[in-house]
Amino acid sequence: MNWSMTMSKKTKDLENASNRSRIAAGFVARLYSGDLSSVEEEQIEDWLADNDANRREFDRMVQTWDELDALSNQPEILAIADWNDTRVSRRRWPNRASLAATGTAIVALVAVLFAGTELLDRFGSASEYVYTTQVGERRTVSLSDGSEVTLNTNSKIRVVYGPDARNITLEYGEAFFDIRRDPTRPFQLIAGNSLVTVLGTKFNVRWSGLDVTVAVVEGLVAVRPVPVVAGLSAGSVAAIEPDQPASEEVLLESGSFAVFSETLSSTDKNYAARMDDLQGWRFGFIRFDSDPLYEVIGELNRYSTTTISIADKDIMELPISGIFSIDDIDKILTGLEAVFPIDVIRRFDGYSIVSADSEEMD
Amino acid sequence: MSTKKAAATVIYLDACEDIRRHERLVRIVEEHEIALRRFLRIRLANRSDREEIVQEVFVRLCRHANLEDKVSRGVESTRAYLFKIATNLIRDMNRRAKVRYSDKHEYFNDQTAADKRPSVESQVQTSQTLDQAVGIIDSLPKKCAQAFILSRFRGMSYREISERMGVSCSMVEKHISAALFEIRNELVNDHE
Repeated sequence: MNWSMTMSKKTKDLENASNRSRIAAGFVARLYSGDLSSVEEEQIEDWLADNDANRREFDRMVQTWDELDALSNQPEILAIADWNDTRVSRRRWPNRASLAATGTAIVALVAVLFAGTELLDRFGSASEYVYTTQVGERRTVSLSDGSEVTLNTNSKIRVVYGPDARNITLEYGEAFFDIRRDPTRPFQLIAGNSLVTVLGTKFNVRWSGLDVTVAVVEGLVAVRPVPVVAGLSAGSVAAIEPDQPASEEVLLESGSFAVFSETLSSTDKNYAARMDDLQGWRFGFIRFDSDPLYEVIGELNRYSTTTISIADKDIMELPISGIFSIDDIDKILTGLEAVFPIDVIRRFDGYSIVSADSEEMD
Repeated sequence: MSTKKAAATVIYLDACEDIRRHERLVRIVEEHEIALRRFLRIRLANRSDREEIVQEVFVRLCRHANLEDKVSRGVESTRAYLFKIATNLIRDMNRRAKVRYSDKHEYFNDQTAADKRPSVESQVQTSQTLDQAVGIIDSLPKKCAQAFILSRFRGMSYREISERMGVSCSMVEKHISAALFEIRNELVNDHE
């Protein structure tokens, strides 16, 4: 008699079967805890020996456990484990009005666009995943298509994958994208006023709030401006025309680096030599090459929970070179102090950098 | 194959040439062998099968390139890893047994005879069922799914999971048990 036959008999049998199944599941979970005691071992053995139905149910439970191994490398599965607390299901989209009100116009555009599209991802329901990092944090997430995104300090992305398209919004911060090639589902990224379209490639995007920088490590990337539509009402559906004037589109090959802002865009197609520096953050370091101190401190502030400020105008332009580990800001400052003519004053509310010549203010 | 513990121990330690690794392995064997054997007694009825698995688990561990890494995460993690290797070996062993209709494995014979609908194994192997299993896991209560995935697919120990999720170890175990119950029963229901 198998389990399904038992089920169709009586409610009592059904209850027994369900109960048996729960006990078996409990035993498997206990077994895999790694600290099964000898008494528990005996209990399980007794239960299994008690009747054939127990044994069968336990064996099936264990078999389910074993065979699920086939799912180990499924990106979908890992994505479920990786979700963060801000995961939003589609049913909660009525909140989009408040979302749009608090976000930028770009957020509103994206939210409305995808709310109005029929989205069915591989789970059969549209889901949106939001990943964030705190200041000083770095994090890599695997997406359901096998792509990987590494978020730099204080960054946020919103991932919406559908059957025909893969869309990500970089809401703020910086991220490195290693995108799997999938010609049936083009990948689009919105950062600020830029729309980045790729097939499969590796690239770095930073959205400072003022400009967007795109650095392409591998493959080919197309960037074009997207209209920042203000005052979109929550119910209306906006669409980015796929065939907008191609003249505005900038194609970036590997080794290229480009900056886009409201008013201008500049492209450097021979940036391969500095490509490693640009992604250094992924491995925990940043590199400066005769960069002025104010820029260096600006960078460090991105990673620091304590504000660093320059108190002396005279040292603003001081050229700084070196490779630093971004995981220990205090150590970087100590290093700078040792090599360059500056002093770091550590206050309760932050670091203040002064010229080594000047007298320490207190 | 000898079923004496000492003999088995010698065999799986022989596979390791590097002396420091060898010492480390001896420590791991001392630390986990009892638990591993207890685990296997529940999982496998046949004694010589158990011996084969114990030996193979340690041989695999010895060959592991990042043994140091694996062991540095703590006793629980190492054990979770050993159980994971053992589980994969048992699954492979069962598959082979099924193919050759071995009569050593009471359960599979039993099932083959009594059960004409597709086994969970063949169910899970079709990609449709894979998708379905993903769907079931996705629809589980969040913490339930998370605990299950971290244990089953990330190979994390209950302790690691409990620290990551901020719940007790026994809660982790309950989540995993509830998840497994749902998955097993949903998969069965949809195929009936």
